[in-house]
Amino acid sequence: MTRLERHYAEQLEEISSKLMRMGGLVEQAIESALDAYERRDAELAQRVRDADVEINRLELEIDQLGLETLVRYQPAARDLRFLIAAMQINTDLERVGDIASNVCKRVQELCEEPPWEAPIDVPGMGRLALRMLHDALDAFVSGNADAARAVIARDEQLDEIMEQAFADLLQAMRDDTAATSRAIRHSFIAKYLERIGDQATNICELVVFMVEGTVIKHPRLTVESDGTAPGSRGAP
Amino acid sequence: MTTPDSMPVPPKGAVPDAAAGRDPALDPGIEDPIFSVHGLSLHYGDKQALHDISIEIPRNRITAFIGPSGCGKSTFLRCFNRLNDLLDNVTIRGDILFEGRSIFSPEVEINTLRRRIGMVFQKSNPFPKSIYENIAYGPRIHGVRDRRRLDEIVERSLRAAALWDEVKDRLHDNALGLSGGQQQRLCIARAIAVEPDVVLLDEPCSALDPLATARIEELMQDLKENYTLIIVTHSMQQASRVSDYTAFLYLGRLIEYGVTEQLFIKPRKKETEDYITGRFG
Repeated sequence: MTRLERHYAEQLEEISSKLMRMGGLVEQAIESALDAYERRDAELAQRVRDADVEINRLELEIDQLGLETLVRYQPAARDLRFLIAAMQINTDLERVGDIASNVCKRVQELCEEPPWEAPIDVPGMGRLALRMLHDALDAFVSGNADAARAVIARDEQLDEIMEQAFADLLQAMRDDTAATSRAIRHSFIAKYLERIGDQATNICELVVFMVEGTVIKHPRLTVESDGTAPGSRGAP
Repeated sequence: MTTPDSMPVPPKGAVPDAAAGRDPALDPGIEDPIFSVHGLSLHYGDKQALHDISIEIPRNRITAFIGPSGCGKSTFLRCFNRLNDLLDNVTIRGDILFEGRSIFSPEVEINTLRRRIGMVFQKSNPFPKSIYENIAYGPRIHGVRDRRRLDEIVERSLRAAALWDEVKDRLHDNALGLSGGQQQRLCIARAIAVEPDVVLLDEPCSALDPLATARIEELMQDLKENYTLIIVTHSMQQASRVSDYTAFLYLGRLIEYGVTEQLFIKPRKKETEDYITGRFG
């Protein structure tokens, strides 16, 4: 291996390890956000929000490394697919970090209000979402497209739970108008947790692209070789 | 050079098709190819340089041959207009059909073949004559004598090679006074002056700076409307920028052939993957 080849390999390696570090921080942020909810711990919620800056910093570092690698080495084939996937997963993970912060904001608001027996299972939903994210990152690390597809299949369950949560929260608001603001905050939290499942799904779609070179998002759409989707051309 | 006459020429339509288990890594499904190569092998003396290559080249497209030095890509390119005939001690087996007819058939007149299949080399090689004479030389050999007709051909060829505006006021200056990039475009103009069907390009940009390279690459895109282009290039970036199809050769064998984007994003063969990601050898 020449010095340049070694540097190239190291650069790809560094992107991978930074991404894993970021994944770890994001998972920890979600776990802590769920803890803060269960314990009504506004201080813990604040610490999670403060720690988001570290996730954002990693996002910038990975962006920079990815850009440098593209410019210097113009990677092709599996390296190109890895890099495209890694840079998009970087964005997805940063967004999950933001979601954890958003959950914490709602938790802090809930801490200002009297305790409430919510009709939805926030920690249960959160654990499902967290498991999806964890397994998506595992699939990325091990380059396992089958595992990624299995995670995607689980997203529907989270969607259904959220639909049910909305219905239950709406009913709770009707039953007790004094609880409306707490119910609305819970419905935000439910939506955030469902979004984590969507981000995990995105990551898994990228893993399939990285491993197999096939694009599985938006399965009903195909793309022409000029980059346009059929029917997407505007009027002349 | 010898071409064994025992080699049967497959009639058109008798080429193995999908039902006969085509290898997707070697066959992107070219319809109405301009060239069909069947089991081509080439020996320099005892040394075998090409091994049993079969490939179909699409018309009015750019096909790139890539591979490490010594993989046989230039040798293979020179088979298409029988340039290897000029070398002693070369033996070729297999066949190349051009528009359905063997280029090795005794009825093929070699000068006609080379008029229809032109070539541009790595090092630009204008004749030490005027710009005008460089272009007019080929048509004259092929019998064009009328001055007005020659003027037309010179202008059309230089325009097609995106050189006209730069040289129209000094057509009778010596061609060796042009820059490297201009000389290479002059060679392309000279190649297309005789109205070929195909232009073979052997590393046409390897001696040029990025701007001159970009002009040649742009020119190739314009030319493919009227010509079939085959380019041998060391630069994988160039192959991925300009070509529609890419063939990867290694140690004289065709390893993979496919649509360029597919080959550079998701190659089917490990050897291709290793080469284009720079993990070779």
